[in-house]
Amino acid sequence: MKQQHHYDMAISDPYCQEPDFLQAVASDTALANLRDQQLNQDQQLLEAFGRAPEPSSEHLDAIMSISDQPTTARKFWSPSGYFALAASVILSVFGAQFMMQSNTYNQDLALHALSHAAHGHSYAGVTNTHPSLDKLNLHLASYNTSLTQANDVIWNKDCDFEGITSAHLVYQHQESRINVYLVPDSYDFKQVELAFSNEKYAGTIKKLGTNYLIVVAQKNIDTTPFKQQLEQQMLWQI
Amino acid sequence: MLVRQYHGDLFRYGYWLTHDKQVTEDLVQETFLRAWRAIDQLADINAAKAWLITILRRENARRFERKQLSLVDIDDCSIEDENANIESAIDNDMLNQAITMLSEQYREPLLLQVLMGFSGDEIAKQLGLNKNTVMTRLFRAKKQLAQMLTSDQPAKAER
Repeated sequence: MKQQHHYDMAISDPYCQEPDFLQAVASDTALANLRDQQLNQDQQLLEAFGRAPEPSSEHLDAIMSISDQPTTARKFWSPSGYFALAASVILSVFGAQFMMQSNTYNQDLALHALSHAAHGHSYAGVTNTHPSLDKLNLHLASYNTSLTQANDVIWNKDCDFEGITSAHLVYQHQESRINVYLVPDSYDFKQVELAFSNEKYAGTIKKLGTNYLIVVAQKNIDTTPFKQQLEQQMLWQI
Repeated sequence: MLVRQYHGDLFRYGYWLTHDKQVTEDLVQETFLRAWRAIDQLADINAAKAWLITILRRENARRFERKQLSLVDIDDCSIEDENANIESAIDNDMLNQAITMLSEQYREPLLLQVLMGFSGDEIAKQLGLNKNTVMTRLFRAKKQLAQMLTSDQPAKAER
């Protein structure tokens, strides 16, 4: 009964992080294969969902002009009023910035990392591609770094931080996957939060060598020992 | 920040709900307009994505209410071949076609999970269903998709 539940779960929710399910996946190859197969199908789905048409420039202009509309009357002296005022300012300022900077790079590194983790987590590292140390170091050479060992790296690829080609590595850390990004510091990111999070993921940014080293994992995972180990394994060419 | 962070996902979500770019643009625009006007109802910035989806879903439901209430001249109506419509709109892309043929009760939880990254509990809350129902719908949706993709021609999805 329990086994059937796990098999159903591998299809309906292959992202499930319940210890029970993860343990079953670790001990049952057929279940692990089914989960991986489903993650692959979900990735194809995600790509298909991404093939929606581009919005028109009229639509983008209209969205930009929304912050010119009056909002509902509210009491600004209440705590929710202060929050509302702050949120309104954020919505209008960043909304306008979003439209004006659509042809430039994203200024907020943390937001970008969170977005990559949220949308890439379902497929990045789904299959252990067993990248060799030589292959990884060839990839990382353009980021002026190399690794001393790659036993836990299961996937690597370049990714795009809105025009900035960056390295994306996925590590298997115990039962979890951890995303590591290397973003060249050649761009002047206006906002670089050292620690950041959203409802699902948490991450840190550290300036190392000529890159920002970004580590993002699911919120419940303590990445401190992983980061210490990672930094020991990375050799930077200044 | 809300626009920058969520516009893309909201637009894609709207498009896969409506299959119509113009309707999606109107829907997303109305969603952000309502969000802007009611920004003081957003108590927690971390809940912004779910809040925006709730507004968009409500707006989409209103669209159908309006549609049912409006009267049209029968002479203005053309008889549409649903299958031909699907085929021309999606350029014979098998996966797109399979997604399109899923019933809405299966497609929507799938969108919320795969596109929006919501958990089973979050989807249940969003759709006003219990988690078991959501899991069953996700299971059936994915099974149907797999079945449609392995057959030569997508069969009419189970409703």
